[in-house]
Amino acid sequence: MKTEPTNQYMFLVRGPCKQGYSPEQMQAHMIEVYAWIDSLTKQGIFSAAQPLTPEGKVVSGGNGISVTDGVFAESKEAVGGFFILNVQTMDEAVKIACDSPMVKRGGQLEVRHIAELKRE
Amino acid sequence: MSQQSASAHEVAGHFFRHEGAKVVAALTAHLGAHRLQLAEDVVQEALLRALQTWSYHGVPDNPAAWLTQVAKNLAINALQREQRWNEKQDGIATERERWLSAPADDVTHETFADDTLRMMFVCFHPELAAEAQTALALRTLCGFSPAEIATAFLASEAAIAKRLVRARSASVSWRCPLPCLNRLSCRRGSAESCTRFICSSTKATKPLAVIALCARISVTKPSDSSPCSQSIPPRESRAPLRCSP
Repeated sequence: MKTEPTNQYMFLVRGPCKQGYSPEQMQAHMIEVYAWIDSLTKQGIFSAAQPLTPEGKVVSGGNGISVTDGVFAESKEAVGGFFILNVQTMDEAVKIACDSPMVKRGGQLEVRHIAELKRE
Repeated sequence: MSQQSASAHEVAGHFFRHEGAKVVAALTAHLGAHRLQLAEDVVQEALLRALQTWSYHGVPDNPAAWLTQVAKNLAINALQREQRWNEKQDGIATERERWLSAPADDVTHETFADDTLRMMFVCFHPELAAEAQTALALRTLCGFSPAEIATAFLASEAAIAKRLVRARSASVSWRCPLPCLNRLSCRRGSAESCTRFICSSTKATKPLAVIALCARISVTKPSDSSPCSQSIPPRESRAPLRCSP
Protein backbone atom coordinates (compact mmCIF):
# COMPACT_ATOMS: atom_id res chain seq x y z
CA MET A 1 0.00 0.00 0.00
CA LYS A 2 1.19 3.46 -0.62
CA THR A 3 -0.15 6.92 -0.03
CA GLU A 4 -1.04 9.25 -2.83
CA PRO A 5 -1.87 12.91 -2.56
CA THR A 6 -5.47 13.74 -3.18
CA ASN A 7 -6.96 16.96 -4.41
CA GLN A 8 -8.06 17.80 -0.92
CA TYR A 9 -6.41 19.92 1.73
CA MET A 10 -7.24 20.26 5.38
CA PHE A 11 -7.09 23.49 7.34
CA LEU A 12 -6.59 23.14 11.10
CA VAL A 13 -7.86 26.27 12.82
CA ARG A 14 -5.97 27.66 15.82
CA GLY A 15 -6.13 30.81 17.94
CA PRO A 16 -6.29 33.65 18.58
CA CYS A 17 -7.89 34.03 21.97
CA LYS A 18 -11.02 36.09 21.31
CA GLN A 19 -11.76 36.95 24.91
CA GLY A 20 -11.67 40.67 24.30
CA TYR A 21 -14.32 40.69 21.59
CA SER A 22 -17.53 42.62 22.09
CA PRO A 23 -20.80 40.97 21.07
CA GLU A 24 -20.89 43.20 17.99
CA GLN A 25 -17.39 42.15 16.96
CA MET A 26 -18.23 38.49 17.44
CA GLN A 27 -21.29 38.81 15.26
CA ALA A 28 -19.34 40.65 12.56
CA HIS A 29 -16.70 37.92 12.56
CA MET A 30 -19.32 35.19 12.28
CA ILE A 31 -20.86 36.90 9.26
CA GLU A 32 -17.44 37.23 7.64
CA VAL A 33 -16.88 33.51 8.03
CA TYR A 34 -20.32 32.80 6.55
CA ALA A 35 -19.52 34.92 3.51
CA TRP A 36 -16.15 33.23 3.11
CA ILE A 37 -17.63 29.72 3.30
CA ASP A 38 -20.38 30.85 0.92
CA SER A 39 -17.89 31.97 -1.69
CA LEU A 40 -15.86 28.77 -1.34
CA THR A 41 -19.02 26.73 -1.76
CA LYS A 42 -20.00 28.61 -4.92
CA GLN A 43 -16.57 27.84 -6.38
CA GLY A 44 -16.94 24.17 -5.55
CA ILE A 45 -13.98 24.40 -3.20
CA PHE A 46 -15.75 23.83 0.09
CA SER A 47 -16.04 20.18 1.02
CA ALA A 48 -16.52 19.94 4.78
CA ALA A 49 -16.01 21.79 8.05
CA GLN A 50 -16.59 21.05 11.71
CA PRO A 51 -16.03 22.98 14.89
CA LEU A 52 -14.47 21.22 17.86
CA THR A 53 -15.57 21.84 21.46
CA PRO A 54 -12.86 23.23 23.74
CA GLU A 55 -13.15 20.39 26.24
CA GLY A 56 -11.29 17.25 25.43
CA LYS A 57 -9.01 14.53 26.72
CA VAL A 58 -5.49 13.55 25.84
CA VAL A 59 -4.86 9.81 25.79
CA SER A 60 -1.19 8.84 25.67
CA GLY A 61 0.50 5.48 25.44
CA GLY A 62 4.07 4.58 26.18
CA ASN A 63 4.71 3.42 29.73
CA GLY A 64 1.10 2.63 30.52
CA ILE A 65 -1.84 4.62 29.25
CA SER A 66 -2.58 8.03 30.65
CA VAL A 67 -5.75 10.02 30.21
CA THR A 68 -5.67 13.68 31.10
CA ASP A 69 -8.08 16.55 30.75
CA GLY A 70 -6.56 18.45 27.94
CA VAL A 71 -6.91 21.10 25.34
CA PHE A 72 -8.27 24.21 26.97
CA ALA A 73 -9.69 27.07 24.97
CA GLU A 74 -7.07 29.52 26.19
CA SER A 75 -4.26 27.54 24.66
CA LYS A 76 -2.98 28.82 21.35
CA GLU A 77 -2.24 25.26 20.39
CA ALA A 78 -5.81 24.09 20.70
CA VAL A 79 -7.43 23.21 17.39
CA GLY A 80 -10.80 24.93 17.20
CA GLY A 81 -12.03 23.18 14.10
CA PHE A 82 -11.12 22.02 10.64
CA PHE A 83 -12.00 22.63 7.01
CA ILE A 84 -11.62 20.28 4.07
CA LEU A 85 -11.29 22.01 0.73
CA ASN A 86 -11.02 20.83 -2.86
CA VAL A 87 -7.98 22.51 -4.38
CA GLN A 88 -5.25 21.35 -6.75
CA THR A 89 -2.07 22.76 -5.29
CA MET A 90 -0.56 23.79 -2.00
CA ASP A 91 -0.09 27.32 -3.38
CA GLU A 92 -3.78 27.56 -4.05
CA ALA A 93 -4.61 26.26 -0.57
CA VAL A 94 -2.22 28.73 1.02
CA LYS A 95 -3.72 31.61 -0.93
CA ILE A 96 -7.19 30.66 0.29
CA ALA A 97 -5.85 30.51 3.84
CA CYS A 98 -4.30 33.97 3.47
CA ASP A 99 -7.67 35.38 2.42
CA SER A 100 -9.58 33.72 5.23
CA PRO A 101 -11.24 35.85 7.93
CA MET A 102 -9.63 33.68 10.62
CA VAL A 103 -6.13 34.57 9.53
CA LYS A 104 -7.04 38.20 8.90
CA ARG A 105 -8.15 38.46 12.52
CA GLY A 106 -4.89 37.10 13.85
CA GLY A 107 -5.59 33.37 13.91
CA GLN A 108 -3.60 30.56 12.38
CA LEU A 109 -4.45 27.96 9.75
CA GLU A 110 -2.28 24.89 9.42
CA VAL A 111 -2.53 23.72 5.81
CA ARG A 112 -2.09 20.00 5.19
CA HIS A 113 -2.45 17.98 2.03
CA ILE A 114 -4.74 15.01 2.56
CA ALA A 115 -3.14 11.72 1.53
CA GLU A 116 -5.03 8.68 0.40
CA LEU A 117 -4.06 5.09 0.95
CA LYS A 118 -3.99 3.18 -2.28
CA ARG A 119 -3.69 -0.55 -2.56
CA GLU A 120 -1.00 -1.63 -4.98
CA MET B 1 -25.30 22.62 -0.61
CA SER B 2 -24.40 24.47 2.54
CA GLN B 3 -27.00 26.45 4.40
CA GLN B 4 -24.55 29.20 5.16
CA SER B 5 -25.99 31.86 2.87
CA ALA B 6 -29.51 31.51 4.30
CA SER B 7 -28.18 31.55 7.86
CA ALA B 8 -26.07 34.64 7.29
CA HIS B 9 -29.10 36.65 6.25
CA GLU B 10 -31.12 35.35 9.19
CA VAL B 11 -28.75 36.82 11.73
CA ALA B 12 -30.49 40.02 12.73
CA GLY B 13 -28.55 43.16 13.46
CA HIS B 14 -27.18 43.31 17.02
CA PHE B 15 -28.27 39.73 17.61
CA PHE B 16 -25.31 38.73 19.77
CA ARG B 17 -25.64 41.86 21.86
CA HIS B 18 -29.37 41.40 22.54
CA GLU B 19 -29.38 37.68 23.15
CA GLY B 20 -26.33 37.93 25.36
CA ALA B 21 -27.95 40.61 27.50
CA LYS B 22 -31.10 38.51 27.91
CA VAL B 23 -29.16 35.50 29.15
CA VAL B 24 -27.19 37.66 31.60
CA ALA B 25 -30.50 38.89 33.00
CA ALA B 26 -31.85 35.36 33.31
CA LEU B 27 -28.74 34.08 35.07
CA THR B 28 -28.64 37.03 37.46
CA ALA B 29 -32.32 36.49 38.27
CA HIS B 30 -31.74 32.88 39.22
CA LEU B 31 -28.28 33.04 40.75
CA GLY B 32 -28.69 36.37 42.52
CA ALA B 33 -27.41 39.89 41.97
CA HIS B 34 -24.19 39.06 43.80
CA ARG B 35 -23.31 36.66 40.98
CA LEU B 36 -23.46 39.30 38.28
CA GLN B 37 -19.78 38.87 37.37
CA LEU B 38 -20.22 35.13 36.99
CA ALA B 39 -23.28 35.66 34.79
CA GLU B 40 -21.37 38.04 32.52
CA ASP B 41 -18.35 35.73 32.31
CA VAL B 42 -20.31 32.64 31.34
CA VAL B 43 -22.40 34.55 28.79
CA GLN B 44 -19.25 35.96 27.20
CA GLU B 45 -17.88 32.43 26.94
CA ALA B 46 -21.19 31.16 25.54
CA LEU B 47 -21.13 33.86 22.85
CA LEU B 48 -17.57 32.89 21.95
CA ARG B 49 -18.63 29.30 21.55
CA ALA B 50 -21.59 30.40 19.45
CA LEU B 51 -19.22 32.34 17.23
CA GLN B 52 -17.02 29.29 16.91
CA THR B 53 -19.75 26.73 16.30
CA TRP B 54 -22.34 28.70 14.34
CA SER B 55 -19.70 29.96 11.88
CA TYR B 56 -19.44 26.46 10.53
CA HIS B 57 -23.04 25.33 10.33
CA GLY B 58 -25.23 28.35 10.75
CA VAL B 59 -27.45 29.64 13.50
CA PRO B 60 -29.55 27.00 15.32
CA ASP B 61 -33.36 27.14 15.29
CA ASN B 62 -33.60 28.50 18.82
CA PRO B 63 -30.38 30.46 19.32
CA ALA B 64 -31.52 31.88 22.67
CA ALA B 65 -32.05 28.36 23.99
CA TRP B 66 -28.63 27.29 22.72
CA LEU B 67 -26.93 30.24 24.43
CA THR B 68 -28.90 29.71 27.64
CA GLN B 69 -28.01 26.02 27.75
CA VAL B 70 -24.31 26.63 27.23
CA ALA B 71 -24.27 29.46 29.79
CA LYS B 72 -26.08 27.28 32.35
CA ASN B 73 -23.59 24.44 31.90
CA LEU B 74 -20.67 26.82 32.28
CA ALA B 75 -22.27 28.29 35.41
CA ILE B 76 -22.70 24.82 36.91
CA ASN B 77 -19.03 24.08 36.23
CA ALA B 78 -17.92 27.35 37.78
CA LEU B 79 -20.06 26.91 40.89
CA GLN B 80 -18.90 23.34 41.37
CA ARG B 81 -15.32 24.48 41.11
CA GLU B 82 -15.97 27.02 43.80
CA GLN B 83 -17.80 24.41 45.86
CA ARG B 84 -20.33 27.00 46.79
CA TRP B 85 -23.40 24.83 46.61
CA ASN B 86 -24.05 25.11 50.33
CA GLU B 87 -26.19 28.14 50.85
CA LYS B 88 -27.72 28.97 54.17
CA GLN B 89 -31.12 29.04 52.59
CA ASP B 90 -31.58 25.55 51.22
CA GLY B 91 -34.63 26.55 49.23
CA ILE B 92 -32.65 28.94 47.09
CA ALA B 93 -29.84 26.47 46.49
CA THR B 94 -32.28 23.76 45.48
CA GLU B 95 -34.15 26.06 43.14
CA ARG B 96 -30.91 27.33 41.60
CA GLU B 97 -29.67 23.79 41.11
CA ARG B 98 -32.98 22.75 39.56
CA TRP B 99 -33.02 25.67 37.14
CA LEU B 100 -29.37 25.24 36.12
CA SER B 101 -29.86 21.53 35.49
CA ALA B 102 -33.07 21.92 33.51
CA PRO B 103 -32.70 21.87 29.73
CA ALA B 104 -33.32 25.18 28.02
CA ASP B 105 -35.69 23.83 25.37
CA ASP B 106 -38.65 25.97 26.35
CA VAL B 107 -36.80 29.28 26.26
CA THR B 108 -38.83 31.97 24.53
CA HIS B 109 -38.88 35.74 24.36
CA GLU B 110 -41.35 35.85 27.26
CA THR B 111 -38.97 33.89 29.44
CA PHE B 112 -36.58 36.78 29.49
CA ALA B 113 -39.02 39.65 29.99
CA ASP B 114 -39.35 39.36 33.79
CA ASP B 115 -35.68 38.62 34.27
CA THR B 116 -34.78 41.71 32.28
CA LEU B 117 -37.05 43.74 34.54
CA ARG B 118 -35.31 42.29 37.59
CA MET B 119 -31.98 43.13 36.00
CA MET B 120 -33.09 46.74 35.83
CA PHE B 121 -33.63 46.77 39.58
CA VAL B 122 -30.15 45.39 40.03
CA CYS B 123 -28.52 47.96 37.73
CA PHE B 124 -30.22 50.98 39.28
CA HIS B 125 -29.20 50.09 42.80
CA PRO B 126 -29.16 53.16 45.10
CA GLU B 127 -25.65 52.29 46.28
CA LEU B 128 -24.26 53.07 42.86
CA ALA B 129 -23.54 56.53 41.51
CA ALA B 130 -25.71 57.59 38.57
CA GLU B 131 -22.93 57.13 36.01
CA ALA B 132 -22.21 53.67 37.35
CA GLN B 133 -25.90 52.72 37.19
CA THR B 134 -26.15 53.86 33.59
CA ALA B 135 -22.91 52.16 32.55
CA LEU B 136 -23.99 48.91 34.21
CA ALA B 137 -27.43 49.07 32.57
CA LEU B 138 -25.96 49.76 29.14
CA ARG B 139 -23.55 46.89 29.57
CA THR B 140 -25.79 44.20 31.03
CA LEU B 141 -29.25 45.16 29.75
CA CYS B 142 -28.35 46.41 26.32
CA GLY B 143 -25.17 44.48 25.69
CA PHE B 144 -23.01 47.44 24.73
CA SER B 145 -19.28 46.88 25.04
CA PRO B 146 -17.18 49.14 27.29
CA ALA B 147 -15.71 50.72 24.15
CA GLU B 148 -19.17 51.59 22.80
CA ILE B 149 -20.27 53.01 26.17
CA ALA B 150 -17.08 55.09 26.28
CA THR B 151 -17.91 56.63 22.92
CA ALA B 152 -21.36 57.63 24.16
CA PHE B 153 -20.08 59.05 27.46
CA LEU B 154 -17.12 60.76 25.81
CA ALA B 155 -15.02 59.01 28.42
CA SER B 156 -12.09 56.68 27.93
CA GLU B 157 -12.68 52.96 27.66
CA ALA B 158 -10.43 52.48 30.67
CA ALA B 159 -12.60 54.81 32.75
CA ILE B 160 -15.75 52.95 31.77
CA ALA B 161 -14.10 49.61 32.47
CA LYS B 162 -13.13 50.83 35.95
CA ARG B 163 -16.65 52.07 36.57
CA LEU B 164 -18.04 48.67 35.64
CA VAL B 165 -15.51 46.81 37.79
CA ARG B 166 -16.46 48.95 40.80
CA ALA B 167 -20.15 48.42 40.15
CA ARG B 168 -19.69 44.67 39.98
CA SER B 169 -17.57 44.67 43.13
CA ALA B 170 -20.37 46.50 44.90
CA SER B 171 -22.88 43.98 43.58
CA VAL B 172 -21.12 41.13 45.38
CA SER B 173 -22.58 42.35 48.67
CA TRP B 174 -26.12 42.64 47.33
CA ARG B 175 -28.46 39.85 48.15
CA CYS B 176 -30.97 41.78 46.03
CA PRO B 177 -33.72 42.50 48.56
CA LEU B 178 -36.96 43.34 46.84
CA PRO B 179 -37.03 47.14 46.92
CA CYS B 180 -39.81 48.86 48.83
CA LEU B 181 -41.81 51.43 46.97
CA ASN B 182 -39.79 54.49 48.05
CA ARG B 183 -36.60 53.06 46.71
CA LEU B 184 -38.47 52.01 43.60
CA SER B 185 -39.18 55.68 42.84
CA CYS B 186 -35.48 56.49 43.03
CA ARG B 187 -34.64 53.69 40.72
CA ARG B 188 -37.40 54.66 38.31
CA GLY B 189 -35.94 58.14 37.99
CA SER B 190 -32.53 56.76 37.13
CA ALA B 191 -34.03 54.23 34.77
CA GLU B 192 -35.88 56.96 32.92
CA SER B 193 -32.69 59.00 32.56
CA CYS B 194 -31.00 55.95 31.17
CA THR B 195 -33.83 55.43 28.72
CA ARG B 196 -33.57 59.00 27.45
CA PHE B 197 -29.86 58.47 27.05
CA ILE B 198 -30.32 55.26 25.12
CA CYS B 199 -32.92 56.82 22.83
CA SER B 200 -30.65 59.70 21.99
CA SER B 201 -27.73 57.47 21.23
CA THR B 202 -27.26 56.72 17.56
CA LYS B 203 -26.46 53.19 18.55
CA ALA B 204 -29.85 52.69 20.22
CA THR B 205 -31.17 49.37 19.15
CA LYS B 206 -34.25 48.53 21.16
CA PRO B 207 -35.24 51.70 22.99
CA LEU B 208 -38.89 50.65 22.92
CA ALA B 209 -38.08 47.58 24.99
CA VAL B 210 -36.34 49.70 27.60
CA ILE B 211 -39.20 52.23 27.68
CA ALA B 212 -41.66 49.39 28.16
CA LEU B 213 -39.62 48.15 31.07
CA CYS B 214 -39.63 51.58 32.70
CA ALA B 215 -43.39 51.76 32.28
CA ARG B 216 -43.72 48.44 34.06
CA ILE B 217 -41.58 49.70 36.92
CA SER B 218 -43.74 52.77 37.35
CA VAL B 219 -47.01 50.87 37.66
CA THR B 220 -45.83 48.06 39.96
CA LYS B 221 -48.53 47.70 42.64
CA PRO B 222 -47.70 48.43 46.29
CA SER B 223 -48.74 44.88 47.20
CA ASP B 224 -45.73 43.66 45.27
CA SER B 225 -43.36 45.37 47.68
CA SER B 226 -41.88 43.67 50.70
CA PRO B 227 -39.80 44.80 53.67
CA CYS B 228 -36.44 45.97 52.43
CA SER B 229 -34.51 43.38 54.33
CA GLN B 230 -36.26 40.41 52.84
CA SER B 231 -34.33 38.68 50.11
CA ILE B 232 -35.96 37.56 46.92
CA PRO B 233 -37.40 34.06 47.34
CA PRO B 234 -36.74 31.45 44.68
CA ARG B 235 -38.12 32.52 41.33
CA GLU B 236 -40.69 29.79 40.78
CA SER B 237 -42.46 30.32 44.09
CA ARG B 238 -43.25 33.97 43.44
CA ALA B 239 -45.60 35.57 40.96
CA PRO B 240 -43.62 37.27 38.21
CA LEU B 241 -43.26 41.06 38.38
CA ARG B 242 -45.89 42.35 35.99
CA CYS B 243 -47.62 45.65 35.64
CA SER B 244 -51.32 45.76 36.40
CA PRO B 245 -53.47 45.46 33.27
